Amino acid sequence: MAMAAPGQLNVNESPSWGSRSVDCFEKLEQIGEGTYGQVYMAREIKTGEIVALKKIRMDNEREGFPITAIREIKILKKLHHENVINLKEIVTSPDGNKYKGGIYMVFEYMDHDLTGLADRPGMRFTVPQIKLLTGLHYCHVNQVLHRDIKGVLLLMPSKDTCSNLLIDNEGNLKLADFGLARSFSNEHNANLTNRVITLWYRPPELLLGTTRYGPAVDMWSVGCIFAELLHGKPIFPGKDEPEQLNKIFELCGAPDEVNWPGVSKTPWYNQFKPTRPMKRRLREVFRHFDRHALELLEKMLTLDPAQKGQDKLWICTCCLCRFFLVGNMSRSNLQANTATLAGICIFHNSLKHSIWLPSADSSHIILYAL
Amino acid sequence: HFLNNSSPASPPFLLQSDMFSDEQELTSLLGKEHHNPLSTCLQTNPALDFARREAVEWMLKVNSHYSFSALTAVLSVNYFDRFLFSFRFQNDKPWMVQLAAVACLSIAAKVEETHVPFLIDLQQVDESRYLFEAKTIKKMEILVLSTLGWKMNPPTPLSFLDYFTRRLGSKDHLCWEFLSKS
Repeated sequence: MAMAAPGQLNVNESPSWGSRSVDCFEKLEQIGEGTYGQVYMAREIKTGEIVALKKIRMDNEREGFPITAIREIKILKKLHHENVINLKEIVTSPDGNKYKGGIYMVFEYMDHDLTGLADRPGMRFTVPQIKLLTGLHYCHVNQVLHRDIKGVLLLMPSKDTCSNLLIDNEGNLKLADFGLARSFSNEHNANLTNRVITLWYRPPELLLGTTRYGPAVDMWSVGCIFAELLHGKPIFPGKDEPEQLNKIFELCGAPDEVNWPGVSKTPWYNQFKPTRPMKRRLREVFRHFDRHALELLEKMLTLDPAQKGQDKLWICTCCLCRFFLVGNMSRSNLQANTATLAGICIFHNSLKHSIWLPSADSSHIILYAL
Repeated sequence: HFLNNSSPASPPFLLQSDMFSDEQELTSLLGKEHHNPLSTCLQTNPALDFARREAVEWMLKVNSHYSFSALTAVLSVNYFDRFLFSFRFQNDKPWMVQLAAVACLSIAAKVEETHVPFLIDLQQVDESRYLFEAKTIKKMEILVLSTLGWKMNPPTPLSFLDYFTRRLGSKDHLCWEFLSKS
């Protein structure tokens, strides 16, 4: 195997075919920055149209073009729906500076994200509307098709469940940031970091230091998000890990060898075990929830991960779908509001995603297999 | 892909029927199919034909080494062929074809696989004539992707196979087993 001589592989001289240059746009201001990279508000010079430019971060040299960007582009290229952010094109920056050449995704410009709106005085959305708008839930279907655990893929809310929902000034809601879908577990890595999930949605087994875990972790997160949607605010907003566990114990009861065999052997159990007895208060706290929702929540927020078997996970997810499709849709007045209902199912084994969204008249759900 | 909310069927109903609508899906698959004129090109250009053959063999070898899925293999060859036709290769740069093969395989793996090896590891499997640096491959990945118009979801023979097996009614585990082995 021969190494190609340096300088011989000058791929730089090749133009990036098929993609326009970012110079077609004039950057107006930076409107966001996060794990995903920088986002700019920009104007297309030729048409004057305002767009959002999202620069693709390319930090990991060994990985090459980032997998998250590939997945996001792949998903967005396939989805054309009024409630999904429209990826207009991809542009490249001229490559004068050798390896700094950037790739930008060009999106339609959206005025707000939900987080920003909620903080803004005098906003034009009423609280119930916001609640309805947050009627998006991330529904993670784990291995339903293959029944063979390999890895887990979860669409993680970034800082909170809302910030990847964007709203324009007409009140239209769109899903964005599909690049956050990430794979955090696979069979090649039996020992996994236990700091994977945003604190508020992190299950007790991870907080107690378990490093061998399975799809149950996602079910916990889905449960948290589901409850948050019905409750109107996060249910376990812990500031740090001890407080997080405490909030969980306050609602779900303290774990012991009866309700969670083996819990005393988890690495940090002795450090974090509750000092006083705590009863499970889930049904009491959420007594205003729909009966079916509560039942479902009971299952999803079970402390012992072993009790959240695959079949249960599967059934829960289906119940969740049904709750939104059949139960909630027809009973309450969700139909009146389009863009209230959206979900993302991720069949992780082959990284097959599907997204479900309301049809234009909200009379049914459209499932997009990606 | 319509899913009506009317039927209060048992839970598995949702996911068995969800993505699978009838003829719409087939029409959409057929509509997205494009003829790649590469095959005619190859007949008149034996050097390119040879280079392609070598590259495809290499991609398949690496694919099986990492136990990537059949779809990954099909996608990588699809990307490679589409790129090969659209991009004018210079005969004095034979390494370009191999570099494109590495890039196409890497993109396909990222699209489809759960576990994606590093770019360097991807090249260690088989004795290849060249070893490319990750940043070089990244450049090529971008060149390939933009040449393909960033379209990574082509209909493949597997899409049709998948469609017909579902139409035949084998919605169960066997069907998936069959597909995963096909």
